[in-house]
Amino acid sequence: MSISLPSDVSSEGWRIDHILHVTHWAVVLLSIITLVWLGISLVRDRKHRDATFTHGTSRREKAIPLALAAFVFFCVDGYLLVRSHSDLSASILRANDMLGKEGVVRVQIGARQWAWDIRYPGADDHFDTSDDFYTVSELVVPVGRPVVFELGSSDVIHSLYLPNFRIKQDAIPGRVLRGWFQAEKLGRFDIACAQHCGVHHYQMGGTVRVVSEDEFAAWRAAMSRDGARMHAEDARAQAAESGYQLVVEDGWPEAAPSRAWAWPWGRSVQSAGGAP
Amino acid sequence: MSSRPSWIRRYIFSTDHKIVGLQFLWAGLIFLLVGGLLAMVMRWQWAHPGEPVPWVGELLFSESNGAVTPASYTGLFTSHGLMMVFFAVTPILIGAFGNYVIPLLIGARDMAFPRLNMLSFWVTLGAQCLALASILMPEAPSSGWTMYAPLTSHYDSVPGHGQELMMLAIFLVGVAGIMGAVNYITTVLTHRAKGMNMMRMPLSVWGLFLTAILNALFIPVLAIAALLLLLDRVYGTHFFEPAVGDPILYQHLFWLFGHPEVYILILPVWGILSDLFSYFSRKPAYWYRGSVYAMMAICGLSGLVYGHHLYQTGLGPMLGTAFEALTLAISGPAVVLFVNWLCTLWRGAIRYELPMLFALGTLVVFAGGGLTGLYLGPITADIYMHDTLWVVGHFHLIMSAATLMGSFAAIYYWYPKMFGRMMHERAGQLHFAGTLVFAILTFGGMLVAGYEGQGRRLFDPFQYEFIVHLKSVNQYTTYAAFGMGLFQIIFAINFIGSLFWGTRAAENPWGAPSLEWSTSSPPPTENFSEEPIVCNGPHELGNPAVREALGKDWIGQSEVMP
Amino acid sequence: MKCLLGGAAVLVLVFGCSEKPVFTEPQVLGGVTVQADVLEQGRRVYQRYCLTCHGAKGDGRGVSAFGQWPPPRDFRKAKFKFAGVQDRGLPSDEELERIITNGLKGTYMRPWILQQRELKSVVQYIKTFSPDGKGFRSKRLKVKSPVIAPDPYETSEEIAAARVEGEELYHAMFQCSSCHPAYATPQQFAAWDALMRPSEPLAPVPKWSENYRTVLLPPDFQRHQMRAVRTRKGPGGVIEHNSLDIYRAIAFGLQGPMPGFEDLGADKVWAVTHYVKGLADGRTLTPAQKPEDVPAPSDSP
Repeated sequence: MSISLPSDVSSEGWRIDHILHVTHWAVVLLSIITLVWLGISLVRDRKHRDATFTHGTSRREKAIPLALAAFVFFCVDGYLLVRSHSDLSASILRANDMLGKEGVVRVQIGARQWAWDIRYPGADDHFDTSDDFYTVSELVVPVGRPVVFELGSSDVIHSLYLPNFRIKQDAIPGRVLRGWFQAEKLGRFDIACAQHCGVHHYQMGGTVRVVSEDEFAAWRAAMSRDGARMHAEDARAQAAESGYQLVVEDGWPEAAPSRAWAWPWGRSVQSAGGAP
Repeated sequence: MSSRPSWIRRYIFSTDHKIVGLQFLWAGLIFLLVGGLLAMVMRWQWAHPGEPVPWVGELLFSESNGAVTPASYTGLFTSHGLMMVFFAVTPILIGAFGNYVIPLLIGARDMAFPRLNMLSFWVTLGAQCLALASILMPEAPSSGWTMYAPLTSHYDSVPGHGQELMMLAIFLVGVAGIMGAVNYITTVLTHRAKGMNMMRMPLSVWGLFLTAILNALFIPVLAIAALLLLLDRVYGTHFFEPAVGDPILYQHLFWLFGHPEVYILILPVWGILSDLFSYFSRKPAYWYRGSVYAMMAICGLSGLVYGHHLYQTGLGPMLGTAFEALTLAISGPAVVLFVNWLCTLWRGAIRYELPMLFALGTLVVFAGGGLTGLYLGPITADIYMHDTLWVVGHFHLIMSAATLMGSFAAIYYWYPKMFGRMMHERAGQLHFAGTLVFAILTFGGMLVAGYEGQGRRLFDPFQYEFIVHLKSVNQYTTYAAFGMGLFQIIFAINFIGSLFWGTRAAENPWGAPSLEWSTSSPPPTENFSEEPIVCNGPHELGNPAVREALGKDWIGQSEVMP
Repeated sequence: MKCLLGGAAVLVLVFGCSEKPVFTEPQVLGGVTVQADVLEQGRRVYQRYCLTCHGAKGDGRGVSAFGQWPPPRDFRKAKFKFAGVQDRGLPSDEELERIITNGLKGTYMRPWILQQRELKSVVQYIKTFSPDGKGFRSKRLKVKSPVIAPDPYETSEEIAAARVEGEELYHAMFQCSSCHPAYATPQQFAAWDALMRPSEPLAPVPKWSENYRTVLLPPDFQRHQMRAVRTRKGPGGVIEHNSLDIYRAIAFGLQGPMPGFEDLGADKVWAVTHYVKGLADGRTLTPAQKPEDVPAPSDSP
């Protein structure tokens, strides 16, 4: 049995894998130092009749802990800090820049107890138009193209977790956060919720379906056409007097429009980035 | 004042710090049992999801034929976390040892505010009863121990009144914590014996003293957060409501307390460990002042790093990097402290007595906990690791394995002082071996599952494709957890049995120089027959001059060199 | 004394906290008398799992219901799309239990893992939302359980033949393609002497539904999931659809938007079932890595 991360199918996941692997080496090195040191003391010094008398206060003695602390602080911590910072600014926090790229796919993901509402802008590539369409907990993306998601929540805090894409981002009611990823392999991959969001948190799963560009285009065209037609039918039913009376009861329309995009509160994009 | 106070005055409503300390110890141990049993039921669910729990299932979950349901599962992990952090480990480490040993170690007759001390215990007990009541409600609290708003602020998301009782319990335990903290700080600052300057205090006292400072600073934040949450939930205020308040504000408040809480729990252990390594390797503690400054530095940093719990909430990049840098910086002083321990052991004359065994075990699991934390510090690594079982394994290594083994070390060490009898040696060794091995297996199993991506708090994790192959890992982990639980039975029997049948303790069974061993065991009501005058440091062991003069390898803190 | 008082206070706290029951008397629901304790347990289960979407009044307007499409079922109407009930009638307990345990695909209705006792009680409880004299409290409405006729086509040759027959029935006699998309060519339509829908024959027709107060979209079997049809991973990663579930929908309809075709003969319905199953199983798929959901327990009736 080998212990390994879930397969990485994203273009940027290697950055996270890399920093984890570097940490492995640091941890192995520090563990070996500790265990050898401890082991020698425990085995050898049990036979000592008299302990060496020292308070460890001479300049040379103080240098030992200080040197090791400096090594860990500058070499290990320093590397991790610089590396993660450069990854963030070079790629992970670049969602806003990705929006300007050719062929970017935009989706809005609304988390709710206990499902992911996913909205696509439709063929015209604009949200809030009549050909927007929706899926529930199924995110379909083309391979090899950046996907920029805007994440919100309509009830409690959730967290979008795509283990194979090394993505995790809290969905917070009242805020819309932006992030991006790019799939590199075809297939179906899990979506999970990483933040406890109620009794059925464990079932708040979903699927990312990575398809070829052609398949995605065909799928999007068909779904977008359905979306426009449903919108039209909705408008027709509203216009026709029979069967569609807007009775407001407890603040709720008796007949809700077929789909109200439930962005929680407000729709401004507050912060960019997969993480901070 | 009557010459002989009544039995109730002496043993129940006592203001004597030793009795209060023992009361805290008993209360904490009982809730340790409760929290542990909750953990066992929870682990069963991960090994055999949906199957009836053996023995206790029918009793606990009669509506579902003995199987854990999603709702009861959320109750289990919430109650386990809260019970352990607030109602078991805190009373044991801070309540019990803080009360029992601080006055003895600094040569005081009692705490600065004995009545406040008694009140602190009774408020804690009240909070514990509320907590127990809350988990026995038809709807136990089920929000996770962090109780994030707005999940908790609406009845629809977390139904039932168990949640409110628990919030109230946390508020009360916060109040009790503040009382205790004020008391400890004042006692250490004003009640030290003559000659006991700050740099002559045993490191245990330093640990407890710094913990008390952190408590005084940060527990009020928790108490207020719990109170605001309660107001939001019960009276419909909007402190954490997304439209007008801010749900993230709660996370800031909670973790502003929550991260120092880790150090609140571990600092006493660090202090006790530093002393024990010195006493049992018959060597002075290596670079005493270095250890003190390192603990102070960690205290100072502890309030500045909490942001790493919020990396995924859309923290600004600038703030995130600042928190990341401060988080990683904690490893500096931590390494100094750790290396000081290793240097203390180096070329010592190590005695493998029970407290020493547990102290060494604590050292090992603490190192594991610290190193696994390295993966969580960098923001990018945390994107993947956040909220997985890796985090759970990491903080259990520190907040469960290290604090509990440290507590055991302290219990084995001070048991003769508390009860005048020794605990059974062989049983203790067995308890040590079982606890260490199974703790590493249990929390190591969690780390493995977490590294492969398994999220925490999942009732049935195996419905995800990327987790399904981890079922065997989860099963092994569960059996290891059961093993760890079973070995605690040995401790319980040893602890209670030794009260009656333990061999009488010698005057100073460990040959330790600190003040508590210069009085009788258990100590009389006002501790010392006459106020000790301190003329030596806390770790005068193995000094050749002393050996020549006194014929033993140590000199007590109040002992005068001839 | 103080300690006694304290102890008493603790006992009161621990044991004194219990809620008042809502149901004290047995009720007649769907012609059957249901005991109060069953309803009481059902109410607790409902509060835990169902409340957030279906609402405290069972009207489908819980806090999480806003913006859901399709919207959560309004239990007061006692109409259930997938319970295999012909136009007027009440669903049987088994059908409701099946919907709860299997969930409805592509909606917010998840497959709920409930213990038998919880499942049975919550099914009884959701009946109590019917207003007096209507739905489950009506004296005239009867429970109708769908009886699924045995599949006459067994061998692969027979099934292949049934698919060919089903294709014609689907487009001609049953007129499925008046709402669902047409999959046949205009030449085939002409050969069958059937009429092809003039407007966008290859797309499904969205339609406002009175019963479910929303616009419904009939599935395109090559593209959409069927809500109440179980699937499992077959050989070669093909997702196989459960033919019994497809048969139930075609034979007994969806109580409102789609009529049932049972009276046209079980053999014909089975032929269309195999045709639709063939379309759905052959859905364009990227190599599947996971079964879509819980494997179907059994295919045999």
